[in-house]
Amino acid sequence: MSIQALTCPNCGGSIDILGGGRQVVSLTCKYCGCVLDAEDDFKILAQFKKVKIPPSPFRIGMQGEIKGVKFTIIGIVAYSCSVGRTTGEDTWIDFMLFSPTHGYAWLSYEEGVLIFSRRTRSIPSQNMPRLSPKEKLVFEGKTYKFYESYFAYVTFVQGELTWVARKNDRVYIFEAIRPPFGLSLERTKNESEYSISEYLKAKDVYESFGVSREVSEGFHPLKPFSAPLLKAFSSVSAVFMAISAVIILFILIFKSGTTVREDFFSSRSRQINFHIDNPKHLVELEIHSNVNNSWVYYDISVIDEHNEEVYSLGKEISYYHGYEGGESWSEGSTQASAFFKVSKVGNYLLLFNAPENRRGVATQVIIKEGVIRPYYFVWLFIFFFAASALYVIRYASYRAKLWKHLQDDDDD
Amino acid sequence: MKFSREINCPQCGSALPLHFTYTKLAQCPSCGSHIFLDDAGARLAGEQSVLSQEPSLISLNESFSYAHKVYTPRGHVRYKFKRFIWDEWWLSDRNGNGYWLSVDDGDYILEKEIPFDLPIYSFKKIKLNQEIQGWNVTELGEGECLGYEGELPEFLEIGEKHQYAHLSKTDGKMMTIEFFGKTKKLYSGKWLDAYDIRKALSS
Repeated sequence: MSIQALTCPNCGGSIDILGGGRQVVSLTCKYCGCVLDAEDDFKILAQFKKVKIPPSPFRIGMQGEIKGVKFTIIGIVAYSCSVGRTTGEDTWIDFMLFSPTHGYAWLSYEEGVLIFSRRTRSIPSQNMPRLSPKEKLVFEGKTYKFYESYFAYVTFVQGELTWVARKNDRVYIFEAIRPPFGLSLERTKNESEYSISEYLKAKDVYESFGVSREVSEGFHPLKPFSAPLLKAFSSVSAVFMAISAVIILFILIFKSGTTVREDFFSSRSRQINFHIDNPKHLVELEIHSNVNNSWVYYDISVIDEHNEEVYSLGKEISYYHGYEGGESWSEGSTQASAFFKVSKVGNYLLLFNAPENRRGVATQVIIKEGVIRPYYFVWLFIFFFAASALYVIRYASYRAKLWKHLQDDDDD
Repeated sequence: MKFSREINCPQCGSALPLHFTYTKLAQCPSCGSHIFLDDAGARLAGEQSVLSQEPSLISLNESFSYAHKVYTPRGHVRYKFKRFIWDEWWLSDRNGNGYWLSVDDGDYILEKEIPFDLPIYSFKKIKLNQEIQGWNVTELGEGECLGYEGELPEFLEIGEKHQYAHLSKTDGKMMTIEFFGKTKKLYSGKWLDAYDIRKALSS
């Protein structure tokens, strides 16, 4: 692409003509803001007085590749939107791109987000201006959702453009989304034009256009929800949750143990012999008591064949209930469990002492072996459930932000 | 199906590979002579031309595909309007059908000649934005032939001028009316998305 030299008829400043194709009809002097007629000997058509170039990492003349096509930035148009627009900031910049093979396109820069747009002569199945937010429309076989409509006003122009832009020129914009893609209709008093848009990864564009500094990205309706790790984790979580649930059920049904001894007593102390054949899994001590608005405390020891204590614990069972203020209440339980492990097959002695059992509370003891507790799998289930829930919460938060303007409209 | 005729260049004697039964103008791949073909045979056409190589997705005899259909550019004409140029490519599909592909600043329009059935009799009476049978006149202009290469279905002279009118419908459908003196032609087709033009795997 050749760059020709031209001077501004107003200020004499040099104007670079980037050769942006036959559709370029206006050039704007970067020094004095004069809009020049490219089709009529560069006569002055309008002027943007005392308007500063909006800050952005791009400038006219930069070249880079987008979607495999080499483009040159030939023009800049900055817009400010009306109150009707409720997302993003109030201003954004459109950089006009030109490729000798692919023609014209736009690179929009808004809150650090880069959107690539180009004109299409295809039109959607529905009339966009008649749609309400979230209403569906089909374009090129794909379903979009109508997003919003708003007025935008030209605030700054520089370089070559395919139309004559004047300050405060108004365009009515209708947008539909299918992140990362978008479809927009721009209406001016002279024409209606459809464009297809796509959110671009800013880093790739910056690298291609030789921009050294990166700008953090804000929110944009075409920026897709992205939580890849969480999404992947959430996807596998469903599988692991199902596996955990099956294991928990299996354990509860088939691995709740085999009763090796059952005893019933009401004395203050008791010695119970039992035999363990399966030391690989847990031994469960299930204690039932007929406490009634009372409590009982047990000192429990397990002694092996060598008269050595392998396990000891203290266990209290308390159960209180009543009727107060028209409502029944209760607290505590008449049963308790304890789990322990023995190292080998053999005979064991269970010592029960309930020194405070003066009322002769009856106690039933059931000893089971081969018990597996689903404890770890329950935690695993909770962990994976939490991961899935986190993804769902984050996605719901993104959706709420995406459609926040509807809520705001309702509030208004 | 592929149509072919065998005719030799009257300048150098080389065989001309003609892909269309209705090719009228061809360029000899050996000596570059432009050759006019009629029922009597081949004879040298007038002025010779050499087209400068501009960046383009389309190249002569290099097939490309669009919407699962393969086209091969057989001829190339360059036109000038005011200070700008555009290219017209004469294409054949795999069935030997001929199409014109207009390439103008990344705008690609594929059209095929159809019988003239519009109530239009003079270029001068067509107005911009006029509606003609549901079509909107979107562009009026004049093309001056700067040169050509390859095979073409009609005889062209360098410097020859014609007037044209582009008619559009909102769904990307296009029509072009061309006026060559008192002769008028009508073409119908569609706008192509440049990003969907792919290099074909084989011709």
